[in-house]
Amino acid sequence: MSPQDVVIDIKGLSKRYGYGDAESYALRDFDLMVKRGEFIMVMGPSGCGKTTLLNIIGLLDKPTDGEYLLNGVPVEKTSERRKAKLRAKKIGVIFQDFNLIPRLTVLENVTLPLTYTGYSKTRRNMQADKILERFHLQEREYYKPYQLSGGQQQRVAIARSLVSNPEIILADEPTGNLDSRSSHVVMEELREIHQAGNTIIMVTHNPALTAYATRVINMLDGQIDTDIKTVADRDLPQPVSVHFRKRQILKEVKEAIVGNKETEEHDGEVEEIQEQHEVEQVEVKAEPKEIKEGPKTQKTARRSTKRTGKKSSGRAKPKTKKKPGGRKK
Amino acid sequence: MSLLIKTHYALAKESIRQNRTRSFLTCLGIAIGVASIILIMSLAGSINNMIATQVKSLGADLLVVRPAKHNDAVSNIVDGLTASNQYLASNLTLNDAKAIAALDDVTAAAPIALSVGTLTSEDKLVPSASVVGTTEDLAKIQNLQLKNGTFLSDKVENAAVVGRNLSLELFGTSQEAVGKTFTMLEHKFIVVGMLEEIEDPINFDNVDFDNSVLVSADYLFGINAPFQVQQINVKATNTGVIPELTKEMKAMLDAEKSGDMNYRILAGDEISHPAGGLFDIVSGMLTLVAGVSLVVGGVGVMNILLVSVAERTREIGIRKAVGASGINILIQFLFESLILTLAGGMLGIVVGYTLAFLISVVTPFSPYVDLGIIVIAVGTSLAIGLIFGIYPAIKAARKDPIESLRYYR
Repeated sequence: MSPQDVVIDIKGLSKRYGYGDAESYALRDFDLMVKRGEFIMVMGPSGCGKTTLLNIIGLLDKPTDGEYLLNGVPVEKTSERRKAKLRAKKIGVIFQDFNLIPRLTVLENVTLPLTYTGYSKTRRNMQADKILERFHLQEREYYKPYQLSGGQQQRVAIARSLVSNPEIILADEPTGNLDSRSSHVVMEELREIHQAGNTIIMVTHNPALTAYATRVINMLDGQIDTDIKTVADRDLPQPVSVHFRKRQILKEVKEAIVGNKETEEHDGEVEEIQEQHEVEQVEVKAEPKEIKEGPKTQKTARRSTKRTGKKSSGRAKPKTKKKPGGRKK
Repeated sequence: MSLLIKTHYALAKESIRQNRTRSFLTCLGIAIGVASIILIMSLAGSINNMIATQVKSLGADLLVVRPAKHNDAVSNIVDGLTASNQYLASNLTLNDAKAIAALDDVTAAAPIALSVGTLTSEDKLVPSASVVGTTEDLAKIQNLQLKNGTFLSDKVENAAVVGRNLSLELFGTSQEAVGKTFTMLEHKFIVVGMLEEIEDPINFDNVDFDNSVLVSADYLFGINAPFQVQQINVKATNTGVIPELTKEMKAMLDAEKSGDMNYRILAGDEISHPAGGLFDIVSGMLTLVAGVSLVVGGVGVMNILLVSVAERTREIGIRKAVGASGINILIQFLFESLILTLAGGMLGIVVGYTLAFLISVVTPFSPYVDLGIIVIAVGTSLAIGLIFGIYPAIKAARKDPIESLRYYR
């Protein structure tokens, strides 16, 4: 697993409400690492911080404490405008009560995220049209939300969350307001999206739905209670769209060929460390592992180490020292 | 960027369309303010324009000497409000007019002494007619068409030329006034001519010739009538000499009045400003009132936008959740405000000019359509939209998306 595969990395996250005696924590010292292609179900009693977690991941809320890396970039320093752009392009949100704008048509609702990306109206409509076709809602394009059933409304909402091709889908009890049949349809849609390679984080109260997930997290009092993976990391669907610039690819292909010898030496070590999920170690060890999987994934690994290279170069040595300690565990 | 603006424009238009009645009423507030501004400006413009064309038709060789005081000093504006006091500040004399007329480059110079007098004919009495004391030179400077008879002359010192309306009032005829007599200040005057009906009663002399009687200024002063010279109209031999002539007249008048500088020599466009301060004050006041109504309209816009922001809290939350930044929301609401006020402004321009045309039907004004006025109207409404729209827009932009999403109507 390479850092490129880590979409969300949350470390020691806390969210506090109120002050003094009224102080309460929605999230307390929360750690979570989400890999590309995971379908995570977050469960737990109400008030355990599920929605707060989604809001923070969706960049709508700010944590009181802790670190949140989105695609390896710390969110803390990101400007509000950049966050809005990330919300429009990288993150799709689905709500329990659909949250469609009632006075806009289905098509307009679906184009909403694209409105803020600077696409022309034609392009926005075409893209929305394509996604609606996929959800078999094309003939309802000019309906108003109140003219649709709950299941259809939620499918429109899902279409909206998908229209800008986001990497992450955040769903807050998407089936909470639906009957079991509509729930099933909606879940099938979500599974399809997941199969196509999207990362999905979904909050639910319905244990029956965990069958769709690749990972089930039970939360209690702002912390993870249990964390069960049902699918191995390597079996996760491959990313739907990781874009590279042409020149970068050429450069990296070259590097992959030339740099082979150098990295092969570490091969033995890598296998063992692979199992551990601590990012620091992964960052250092990422390159050698990727070689086995072929030049294409190699590229991604190279790229990310380069990106983080500047920051971590100073700390590179201590990290390698850490390794033996980690293995002893 | 232009695409985003287009999108925002479409969004704002859409939300305005959702609340047609409300939007229309909001527009109306702005429209009324803009309409009154348009009305006032077009009428004021029409008056200035009238005088300007008049001056132009008289030729560029016209100079006017006026007492300066009540055009400059603020304290005199108040005096200017009462028409009878308006002219008492003048210290121009008939001799000044004569001296100017004697200058080389001057074709003609006519004093205008204006007052109000009680005229009595055989059977009728006009209590306050406008009486103009002048000389025969006036006919050379201004084109005063005579309907019949002759203009004033030196031969008959108590001659009088009456305007059409005054003739009707005084003699009951607008045809055969010549030869009739009337009495003013216990002196008899004989009518030698009658003026053709004047098309534009407002002119740079500040005299409504239709309702006036012209008599010899020399004779008036001879009988000690309470008159003062308000204005001296001067016609130069040609346009080229005007700068020099101005200097010459100035030097002469300065010497005459021992440096007492309370007069002005006006040429060209300067003349076209209405002679009385009253007019400026009235139109200024009206503009102020219109401005107040614009502010009220602006407050209406702000009010509606605040309601709209509150109503659409959830929508704002959704928009922010799917990727709108604060700026996006701000621009959306600002555009709404601008569209509302701009539409109001357009409506105001149409209504204002319609009213101006309606007024022109019953009065001699002709509405003055000028790009400048329209630009001012549009600019004002945009400014109002910006000023009163920015606060609701900021309020909308600052809304917390999580709070907003929890909001139920």
